[in-house]
Amino acid sequence: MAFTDYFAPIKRVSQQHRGVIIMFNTTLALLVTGELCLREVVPASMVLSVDSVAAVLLQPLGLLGLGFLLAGLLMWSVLLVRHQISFFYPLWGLGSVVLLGLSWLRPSGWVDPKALFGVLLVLLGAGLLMRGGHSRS
Amino acid sequence: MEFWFVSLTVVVIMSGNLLLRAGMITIKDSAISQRSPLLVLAEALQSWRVLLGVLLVLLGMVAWMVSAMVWRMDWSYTALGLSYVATIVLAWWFIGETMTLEKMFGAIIIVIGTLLIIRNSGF
Repeated sequence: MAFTDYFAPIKRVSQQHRGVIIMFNTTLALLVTGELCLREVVPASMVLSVDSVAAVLLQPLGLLGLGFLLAGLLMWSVLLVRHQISFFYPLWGLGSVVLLGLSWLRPSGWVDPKALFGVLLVLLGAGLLMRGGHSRS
Repeated sequence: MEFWFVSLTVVVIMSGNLLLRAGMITIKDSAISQRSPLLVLAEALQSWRVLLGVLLVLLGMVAWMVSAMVWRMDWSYTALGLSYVATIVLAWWFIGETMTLEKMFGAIIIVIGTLLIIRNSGF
């Protein structure tokens, strides 16, 4: 199979569903932002209990994180009206690629080659999902 | 205990997502094509399946994220990754979505890639 043959269906799907892809990217951005807000307020030494989690979530940044997560989930719901969850849910894995990219932007940021290989695999998997098509219900 | 808690949060996220999708497909086609996404959402939120689904996913995600940050277990990400594959099978079984080899392999490769990123990036 020629190299371009692999990408042709991906390009076609990307062009046909541009609006949906933008909506999914926005959803992912909201969910990742929510996670980053929670990372700022959750201490590593925290003992997990309902009270300690509630105390963390009631801090301003915790509430903001919850808001981002809720907004992301509402947009996610709209995405699922017409599109299959089995197509989009595995793409949540792209969130780890975004997090890795953000950690690389830090002043002391360094990316392990094995992590870069992981990024390549995630992108390959996403490409396979798009080649599989059938995103519409 | 940690293992079971993380597993439970992932099952809650997965069930919530399936419930959400099951609720969303009951909205009529005419309502989707003629209305803005906000109106579609307003109609969707009248369904108990959608409301419960959003609530379950939100609760599960918060519990999963906090436990992953505090316990730093590899199992957190492995379990979430396995739920991608399980969702493809369950969505085909319960909701009637299509299941293709490309979907399955795509999800499995994403899981392996995610685990490589997590193990080698210090998240």
